[in-house]
Order: sequence, then structure tokens, then C-alpha cells
Amino acid sequence: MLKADQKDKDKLIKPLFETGRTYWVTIAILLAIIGWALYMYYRQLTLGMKVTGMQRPVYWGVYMVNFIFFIGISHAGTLISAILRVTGAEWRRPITRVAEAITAFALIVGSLQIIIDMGRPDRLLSVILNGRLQSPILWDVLSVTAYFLGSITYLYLPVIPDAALLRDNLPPYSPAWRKRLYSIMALGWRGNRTQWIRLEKAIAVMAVLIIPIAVSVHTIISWILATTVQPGWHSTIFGPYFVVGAIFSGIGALFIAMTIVRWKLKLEEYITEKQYNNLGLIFITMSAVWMYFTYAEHMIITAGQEVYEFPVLTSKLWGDYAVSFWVMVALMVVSFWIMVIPRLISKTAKRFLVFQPRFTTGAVLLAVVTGYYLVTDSTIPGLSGINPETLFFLVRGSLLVELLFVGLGVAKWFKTRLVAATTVAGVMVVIGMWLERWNIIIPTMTHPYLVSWAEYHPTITEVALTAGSVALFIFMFLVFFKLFPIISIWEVAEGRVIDAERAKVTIPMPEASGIKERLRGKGIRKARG
Amino acid sequence: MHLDYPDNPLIEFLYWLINTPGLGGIMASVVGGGILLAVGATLRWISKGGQALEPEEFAYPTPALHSHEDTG
Repeated sequence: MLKADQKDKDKLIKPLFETGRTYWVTIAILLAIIGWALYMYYRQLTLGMKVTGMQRPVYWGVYMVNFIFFIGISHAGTLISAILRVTGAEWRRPITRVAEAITAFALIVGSLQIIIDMGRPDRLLSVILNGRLQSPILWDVLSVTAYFLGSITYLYLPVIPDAALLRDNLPPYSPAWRKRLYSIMALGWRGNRTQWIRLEKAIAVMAVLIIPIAVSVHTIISWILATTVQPGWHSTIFGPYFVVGAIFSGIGALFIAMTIVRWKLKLEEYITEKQYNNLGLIFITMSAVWMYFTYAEHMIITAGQEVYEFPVLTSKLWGDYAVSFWVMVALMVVSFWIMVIPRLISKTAKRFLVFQPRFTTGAVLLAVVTGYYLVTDSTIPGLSGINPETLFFLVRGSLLVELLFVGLGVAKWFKTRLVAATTVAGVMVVIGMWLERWNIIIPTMTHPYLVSWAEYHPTITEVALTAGSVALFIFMFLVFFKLFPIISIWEVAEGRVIDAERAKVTIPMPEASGIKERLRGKGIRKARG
Repeated sequence: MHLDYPDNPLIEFLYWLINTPGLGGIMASVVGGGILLAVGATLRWISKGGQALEPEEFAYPTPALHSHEDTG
């Protein structure tokens, strides 16, 4: 019989068998949203796709945006977890299961979008019956299937020892079906040496295999777009651009999930600032790479004078989709600022006026007033005599400076609040990446080569199915973590032993070079002690 | 202008391979089925490890555990 540590029992096992009212209320709300979505899907099936905003030439709408978004989110888990395992990053231990669960559930919800998007879902079978190897859609089916099966396995393998721990440490009041469930899931796990060696070998092999599969998934999704000759999609950088965006949004989703479980289950001892800090550094890197790709993608169209792509580009820069494009850019810039600037500010910075709360409050008020004048196009008292062009730059310039001061004040506040900073940045990036998928799909669909202009507005059916998809994702997450520990108990226990042993080791100072010469210079022949 | 493929049996075979309806489905089934088989075999292998004659049972491993040979 396997024994769990008392702390793990209290913090990780006990909450699985004690369910509060908030949990059931949340489940009820989620089920209501899923029910609403199911009803709307039934309407869509019976009435046809006319209940959506999609019509010629806009064949792909919000469902496709959701598909790319959720598959992107799925890169949070297995890929990141696999990379951290392969590189032996010890700090990964408390967050791997949350990450891997996000992958599995996001893949389920993401794949569902394809079925939802089909007017005749029964025709999905045609991909198998009539599929040709030249079709990117078939590659997509192949890679998503491989990634899904691999991710489910990668999630399940570390659950086996924990299921055995649960089987052997059930509270007396737990129902009989749970004992049966854990016995089945544990696959007769004893925890003898051979089993541990085999399990860790399997996990290691999976970790190596899953990395190229994960990269292939989002590359191939990008190729569904890039292998067409639609303006805005026919790009060679779409593969890496999508992969980077997927990892970026995935880490954002992981931050949100980590913070919620840490706060709700009081897991501050397990998920520490170390996880936020280290994952935050990967997040910053991904943010910078994503910005580079976004800039390159748009700059090449402009610099290369690809005039056929201009309607799509201008619709994003100042046309119908300017709001979604610039909100995306703003969210990404602010999230980058929140992650980077607090790390650069000194702890003693508060002695400078710009970092003091009253200065920040003043800057906020000024920015609100300037913004009001800008939005309402009102006349600014005392400035009526100024040339309109000068005023144009003056108002925008002052708003920028005011926002910069607000940003510095906020950065100082976030300096001592790493968890809050990364969570806010995570939320911004998740919203920003959904908008990015929207900005890739919709402007191209509404500006194809042969049609000068078209419109697309999502209907209530699409809104309901999007809300239902998000609700389904959260629902699966909540149900799974009611049955299995949110943190891999055995991995954390192993990490605890390794940390304790490492703490005992004192690493000596490096040997200073040139010490003999320096001693000799002072008239000392031999180093003492 | 279009691509003129050389009259070569290998090119013709590849053309047939990527354009024949149904071959993609066979490929998808082989990949999916192969992964399922591999996963099933791995889980069985791990499960069977419990039958090894080793009296010690561990709730968690440490790197020291791996220095021993697989006895199964």
C-alpha cells in the first residue's frame, strides 16, 4: 500500500472529496451555457448555415477563429511540459498536470469547431473515405489526431502513480465508485522499481516525440491558409508565426489556470513565484518573437508593394477591422510592458517622482481628459488659436506621454506583484491572440481577389456556440480536477527530496586567478589557511 | 505557365500517391491505429512491471532508483 505525505493528503487529495457550493453553482452555470449552445447548434443543423453570419464569399467565420485559437491554446501544455521535462527544468513539477490538461481539453474543443463549422457534419467521414495525401486538411486530421492521442497519453502516464496513491489513501467517506475508478486507472500500479523505471522511460520517450508533433500541428493549421492563394494568407512565415503564437497564447492560458487553482485551492506552497518568474521569461521571449513575426508579415506586404494584398492590409490598419487589429496590438504591447518593465525598475525607484502613486493618478486623470477630447473631437479651451495640424500632433503626443507615465507608475506597482502581473498579461494575451486569429481569417475572407468587398458579422448562433465552447473547456477542466489531483503528487514528492539534498550541498567559491602573484607583490610568499 | 513534370515513373508514382482518393484515409487510419497500438502496448508493459518479484514499493521515485537495472 502506497503512502502519501500528510501535507499532500491535506492539500491535494482532501479537496477532491470535499465539494463546496461554489463548485456546483459554477458547474450549473457552465451546463446552462452548454445547453444553450447545444440548442443553437440543433437550430443550425435543422435550419442550415444561414443562421450564421457566414455567406459567400465568407465561408469561414468565428468557428474557424475558435478552431485556430483553441488548437493554439493546446500548445500550453504538452509542448511546454515536454520541453521542460527534456531540459530537466525542476521547477516544472507543480504545473505540468495543469498544462497537460489544458492541452487535452483545448484539443477536444478545438476539433469540435470543425464539426460545428460544417453544414453537413456527416460528410466529415469523406476525409477518411476520399481523403487524398495532397490535401492540407488531411494533414491536419493526421497531425491533430496524433497530437490528441499523444497528449492524452502524456496526461495519463503521470496520473497512473497518483491514481494508485488515491486508491490506497481514500478517505473513509468516499463513494465506492471512486475506489473502482482509481483501481482501474492505476492499472495495477504497485510502485516497485521496475514499474517506476518503465513509467519514466515511457514519459521520456513521449516527451521527445510530442515536441515535433506539436510543432507540426500548428504549422499544418497555418498551411490550410497558406497553401491557398488568398490575399494575406499566402505567406511563407505562417508556419513558425502560428507555432510561436500558439505557444505564446498557451502560456497565457496556463498563467490564468495556475492563478485560479493556486488561489482557489490555496496552493501557494506548491505553485510559487519561481514558476511564474521562469515561465514568464519564456513568455517574454515568445512575445518578442510574435511581435517580430507580426511586423515582418505586414511590412513585407507594404515594402514589396503587393497591391493585391492591400485591401486586406488597409482593412486592418484603418478600415473595417482597425479596431480589432489595434486592440490586439495594444493588448500585446501592454502585456509585454507589464512583464518586462517591472523587472527593469530598481527597488529604490519610488524616490523618483514618476513612480509615486500621486503622480500616476495625475497622469491617469490627464490621459482620461485628453482621451475624451480626442474621441469627442471637442475644442480644447485656450488652444483654439493653434493650427489644426499642430494640435493634432500635440494632443496625440501628450496622450502618449501621459500613458507612458501611467505605464511607469503601474510597472512600479507590478514590481512587487509578480503573480498579478503575469496573470493580467496572460489574460491580455489570450484575448489578443483570439483577436489575432480573427484578424487573420475575417479580413481575408471579406476581401478575396474576385470580390471587392463583403461583410461578416457573427450572429447569436455563433456567439452561443463560442460561449458554449469556452464553457465546455472550463467544464471538462473542473470535472477532471475533481477526480484527479491538480498537481502531480509523486513528481512534487520527488522534487522535494531532490531540493532537500541539493540544499545540503555547499558549492565552494571559485578559485581566484592570479592570487599567488598578488600575494607575492605584497611580500607574502605562501597563502595562509 | 504551368509546371511540366518530367515523364518519369517515380514522378508518376508520386503523382498517383498524393492524388488517389482514399489513400489519405488509409494513411490516417494507419497513423491513428499505430499510435493506439503503441499506447496500449506501453500501458501493458508498465502494468506488467508490477509482476516483477520486488518486495519494495515506492510512492515516488528519486534519481537513485534509476541507477538500478530494469529487472522485468
